Amino acid sequence: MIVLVTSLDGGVGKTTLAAAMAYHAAVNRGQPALLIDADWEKAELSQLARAEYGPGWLSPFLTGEEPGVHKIRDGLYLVPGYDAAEAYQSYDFQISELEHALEAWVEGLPAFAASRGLPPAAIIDTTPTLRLSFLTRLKEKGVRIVFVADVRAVSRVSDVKAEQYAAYFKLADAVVVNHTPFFARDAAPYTIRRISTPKDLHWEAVAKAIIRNRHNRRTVEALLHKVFPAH
Amino acid sequence: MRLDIRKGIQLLTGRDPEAGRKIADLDAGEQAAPAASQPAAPQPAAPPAPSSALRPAAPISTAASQADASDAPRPAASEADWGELLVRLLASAPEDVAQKLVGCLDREVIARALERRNDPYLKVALMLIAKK
Repeated sequence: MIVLVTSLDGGVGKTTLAAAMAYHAAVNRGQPALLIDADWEKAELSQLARAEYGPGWLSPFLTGEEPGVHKIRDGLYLVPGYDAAEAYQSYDFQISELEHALEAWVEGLPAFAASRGLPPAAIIDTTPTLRLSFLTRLKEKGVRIVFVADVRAVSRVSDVKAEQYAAYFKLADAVVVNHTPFFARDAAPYTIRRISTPKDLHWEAVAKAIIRNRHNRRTVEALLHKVFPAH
Repeated sequence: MRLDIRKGIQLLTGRDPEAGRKIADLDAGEQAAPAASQPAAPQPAAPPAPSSALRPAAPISTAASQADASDAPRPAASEADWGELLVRLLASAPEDVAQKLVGCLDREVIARALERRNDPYLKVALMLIAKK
């Protein structure tokens, strides 16, 4: 079971939502999870989790190295994305190469997890605006797609934007509208209310801060029930 | 800079005993559990991967290529090359269409596609084709 968290626009809260989902799954539901930081633009999840700098998810394809696995806590592991972020800045990759590498992860994950004693269920944090053709291929491989948006999704900036959103909505298994004000909390099936930024920008503090809000907790619970059900 | 998808997926799906040990180390840090209790594969340990990863000129590790090829006789779907695709196309097409396609293709091309799979039955079939 693989869940991919993605978006059209940047800064909508993909990483924090992925962290909150993984935290709630592992800590409150006793459902082990493997996080993969495939945000090749920033690798923010790796930083939030204070993962050690080193080989990550792209290294098997880049240097032939074993990817590092960072244990966040019992039942929760992270494959970092520092290598991909550095490679993205340094080399002239074609996007299709990175897509193929991530697709290979989706195919190889069951064997990878089984041979290393890791949870077989994964949540993948990604970069914004992944191509629709790529997401379609992943869907065909059984990946469940959580599409995260903020108010830009409903503000109708332009017809082009509206069409772009419509295409992503169509592909997504669940659409989460993040940073919703209180009065708009029921504007979409899954909404996350804006929370005050925790002082300690650490993975667990951020995840806890989101979950602490009762509405957000219900949202994450319902979201996991839909895309990351316990077996 | 090109990514080596084939090597990457071999490394991900191969049973690398060193990898099991790494996860064991993570747990041992907290619980002081012996590494032997972890699900490490029984093969001898591969040489440890260097800790610094990201130099483009770094040589590709041979750990994956050392894996026994007989463990993975079929390429994964993502590794499907032209030969695999051609064979699948011919096998899944209606018989009359497949016959026409085979008639259009050079015999050597088909033989080369079949040679890509290390299968004793195919080898015998190829011998028969060559005999004709």
